[in-house]
Amino acid sequence: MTFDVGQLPGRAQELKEAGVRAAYRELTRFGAGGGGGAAQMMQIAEDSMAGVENIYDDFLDVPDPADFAPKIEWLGNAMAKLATEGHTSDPVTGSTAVSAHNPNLTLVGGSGDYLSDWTGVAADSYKRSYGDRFAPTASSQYAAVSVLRNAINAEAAVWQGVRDDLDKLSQEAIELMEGAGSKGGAEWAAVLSIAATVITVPLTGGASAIALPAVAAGLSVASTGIGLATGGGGEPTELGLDAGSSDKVISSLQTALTELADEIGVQERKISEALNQSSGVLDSQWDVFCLPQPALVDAPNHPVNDPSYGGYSA
Amino acid sequence: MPEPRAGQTPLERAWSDTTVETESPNGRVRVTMVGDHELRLWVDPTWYATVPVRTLQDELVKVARLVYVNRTRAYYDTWSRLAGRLVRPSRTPASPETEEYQRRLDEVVARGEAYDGRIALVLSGTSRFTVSIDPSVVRDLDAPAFCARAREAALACLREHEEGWQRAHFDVYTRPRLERAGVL
Repeated sequence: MTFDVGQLPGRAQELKEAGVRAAYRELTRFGAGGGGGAAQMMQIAEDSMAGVENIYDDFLDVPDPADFAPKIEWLGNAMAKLATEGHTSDPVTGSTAVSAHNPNLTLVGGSGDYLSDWTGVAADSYKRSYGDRFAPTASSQYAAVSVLRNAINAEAAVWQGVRDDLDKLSQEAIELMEGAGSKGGAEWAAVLSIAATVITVPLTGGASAIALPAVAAGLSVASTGIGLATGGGGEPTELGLDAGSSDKVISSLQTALTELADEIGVQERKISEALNQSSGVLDSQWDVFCLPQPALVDAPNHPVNDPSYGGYSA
Repeated sequence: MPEPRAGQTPLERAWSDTTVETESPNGRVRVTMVGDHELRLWVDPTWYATVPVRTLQDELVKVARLVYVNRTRAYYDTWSRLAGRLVRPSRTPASPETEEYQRRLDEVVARGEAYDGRIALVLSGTSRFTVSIDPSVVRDLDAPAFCARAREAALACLREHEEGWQRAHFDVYTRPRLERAGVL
């Protein structure tokens, strides 16, 4: 269960109210105020917190990581169909991806043996171009689907990271505001986990040893349950922020939110670059991922037993 | 008519109830502090009866440094407990204001005296301590009486230091806001 961003407006309001109290405290505590009167000090305090109730407005519609789970499940089912013998782990993360290989695929590779007493170009070419190449091709497709599945999981991880960070930042801002103006409360070591949500994984794709650039989630996404890639996530970013006064808590929070928004772009670029590059590999080496179309498809109605097409039994 | 002062923050309330106990390296001096307002000092009477003044001063400086370290740790522990997460000081100044505030804090010199100035404690910045004890003190006062006077000097020093950091905080963080609002 990730943080519900629907709580953010309430936290913004709570921050604002704590901010007005803190600003008033600062303005009246240290011999300040110059005798301006409580009403004037309160007005200055309220003015200094103007607009804080909207501070999280840009983040109210961030996606829910759980929304990505169905797509990830569909792609997991596709991997289960494409899993040839010996391939049950996720090529990107190294963790278990499917419970067992698809036994039906095992039979395809040996199907050429059924045609051993056939002659003709089509029979030979079926065995050479289709039967023998079926397992490695399916294995490459299995790897390609894994790349796509992990890219979507990484996307879910980005939004989980954003929600985790918003949860922490919005809570810490209120805590710091409650203590603003204290001697030791001048520093805010805010940690953004989003920087560690996407990691790049060089992947050798299936039995064909094609290199597919991939990404994986740098944190465990609760709703998808995919394991972390070997090596785990990267390092979270620590922001050294000034929380020495109520207005500094607000400006520091804005700095952190800007950093968070920038990091969303950085992490998204990692995903799109990996997918673009993988897509380029698929385009340039299509024959690794797809079997040639059987000549039989182009055969005229008669005679399909011409050696150029189906051939015939000896 | 001054404005009514705001109350303590939750952290300030928790800190005012936090007890920090420290023992000097040779075990002959113990300091117990509660928040910033209460201080109890104990000096081993047997050791005090024969210790050279210079050694007594040095041991008090050492225990004062340890008190500073223990109180800093306790402050962040208290804060972490309240926050429900690990809170620790930032490694680098977070803003020009933080840097300025730390520079101003480092310039604060707080002095506390007792027994007609014959016992004096000076705190420069946040952690540099000097203890001066007139040689006549150890002749005139027994250990409990010395502890009572030294406690007075320490509390006076703490009060002056408190005023110093509050002044620095006001100048760095609050004065500009009041100036912008046209109040100052």
